[in-house]
Amino acid sequence: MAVYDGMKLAQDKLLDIASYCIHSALKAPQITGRVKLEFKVITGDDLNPFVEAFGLLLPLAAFHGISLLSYSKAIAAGEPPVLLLIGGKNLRTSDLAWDCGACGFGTCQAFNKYARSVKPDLSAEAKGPFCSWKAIDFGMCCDWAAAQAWHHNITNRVEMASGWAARVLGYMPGCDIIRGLPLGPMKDMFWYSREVLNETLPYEAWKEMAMTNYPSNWGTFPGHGRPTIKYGQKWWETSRDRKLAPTDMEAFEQAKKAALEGLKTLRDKVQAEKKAGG
Amino acid sequence: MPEIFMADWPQYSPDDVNRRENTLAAVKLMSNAAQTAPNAGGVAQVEAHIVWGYKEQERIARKMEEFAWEVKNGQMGRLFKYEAVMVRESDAVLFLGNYRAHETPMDADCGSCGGVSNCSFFYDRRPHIDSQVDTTKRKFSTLVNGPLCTLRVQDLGFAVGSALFIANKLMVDARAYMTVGVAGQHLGYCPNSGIVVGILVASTGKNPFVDVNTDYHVINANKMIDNVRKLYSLSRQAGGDYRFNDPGWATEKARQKEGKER
Repeated sequence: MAVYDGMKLAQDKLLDIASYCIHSALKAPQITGRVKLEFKVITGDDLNPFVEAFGLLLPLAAFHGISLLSYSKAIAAGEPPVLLLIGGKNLRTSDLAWDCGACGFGTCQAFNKYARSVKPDLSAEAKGPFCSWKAIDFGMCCDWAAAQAWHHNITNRVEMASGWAARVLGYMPGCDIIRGLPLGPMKDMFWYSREVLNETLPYEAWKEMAMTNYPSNWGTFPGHGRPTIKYGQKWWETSRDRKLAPTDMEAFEQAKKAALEGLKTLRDKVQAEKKAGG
Repeated sequence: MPEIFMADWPQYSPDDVNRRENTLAAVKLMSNAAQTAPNAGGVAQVEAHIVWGYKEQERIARKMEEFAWEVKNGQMGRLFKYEAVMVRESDAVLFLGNYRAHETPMDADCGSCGGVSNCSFFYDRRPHIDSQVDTTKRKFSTLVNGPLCTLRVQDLGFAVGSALFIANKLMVDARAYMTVGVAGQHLGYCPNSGIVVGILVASTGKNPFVDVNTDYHVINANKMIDNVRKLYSLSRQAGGDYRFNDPGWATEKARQKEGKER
């Protein structure tokens, strides 16, 4: 008889959970029955390029920062999640001829013509446009995968971030959309109520975010003609302006360009390593 | 203690209604599961409408049959017709709709609706004032009033998925349909939603949503029962006056006599 280290065994068995999630996604009862799925399971060192990609994607969407922190923490603690990638195929073609109009076109033919005319780049998370009913089906499949992990009491969270990172790293190029489903680390909460945010997000940063996103809470009397935000404990001395200053789109476009170039370099590196590794 | 007796026949008898009410309990749990489904950003966006009862289900089925003759695609017309039969065979219908997909998009530049990394595809095709979508125009010529925020639509998929996952765990038969959802939306169910999915639910000996034969709208259990009733009344007219001449009794008597002699 052998004696197993329980934690090591549980970590190893996360792969089994990934396979159950795949089974569940494949069993999900689709409405159209025409969304094809592809899966990859990322483990160990192969997660490292994802962390790098999160950093590069940060200027495009700040939520990648939270993924960067979370994955880094899990990897550093020797408890890397098993990342299940769920890819959806055939979403940007409508072979249904339902002509339902949900996509914004009167016919599936018009939708298909439009879809063919659009060449999405990596700056968008998904390779749209999508047939709405197939988008529902893909959502259902991802939900069944997550529900299966939940059923096994494995902490998990469906992510745009790791799906987008997978796409920029060149995983499953035939898919129109990829979602990531990290499984583990084995604890009550990891992807929700994130400890890592307590550790890294200063109170001031959180407060600024709240004030920016919910300005009504801190808005002053508008009648005096000086639209201000009550900022600070003695806000009448330190109030901030509420003027609608234009966003510097030029700076954003430059940051986006740099990010896409960095992502391309990273993708080439990862693909070359994959090739070399057979 | 009071007794609860359940049977699936006759349809809508008190015993059958007892059974249906149990399905209803499952449907209520399914609708809660839909609310707790994962979605982008944890934003509340799903509404549920539960419909059951002979008249109510018949109304939905008839609306679907109306669409069956309105759509240009004949094969899609068949979907409407076949699935209308399934509505009649269900114990209950759960409508799940997304009330943000047409009005308050995620604005995440995800590219799912138009393939570009901004939300222009949606806003360019919807009446809005500085991004505040005007939803007061409610007439539209297509089955669904698009375009929609596809990220929200995908989130509706998660909600439908969770509802079906619970049905699966509770071992009630359930399946999601576009046709039922479209009919339900046009009848006013999930009144705030831009897109609605209809989930049919049943707890019967035979899952009504699988093993569907062709021409299902004219060859199905209810039609067969009706045909039996039709033929039965015709054949019984061959019977005479049982008070004077009862051939069945005469045959039975003869059989008894034969048994005694043996």
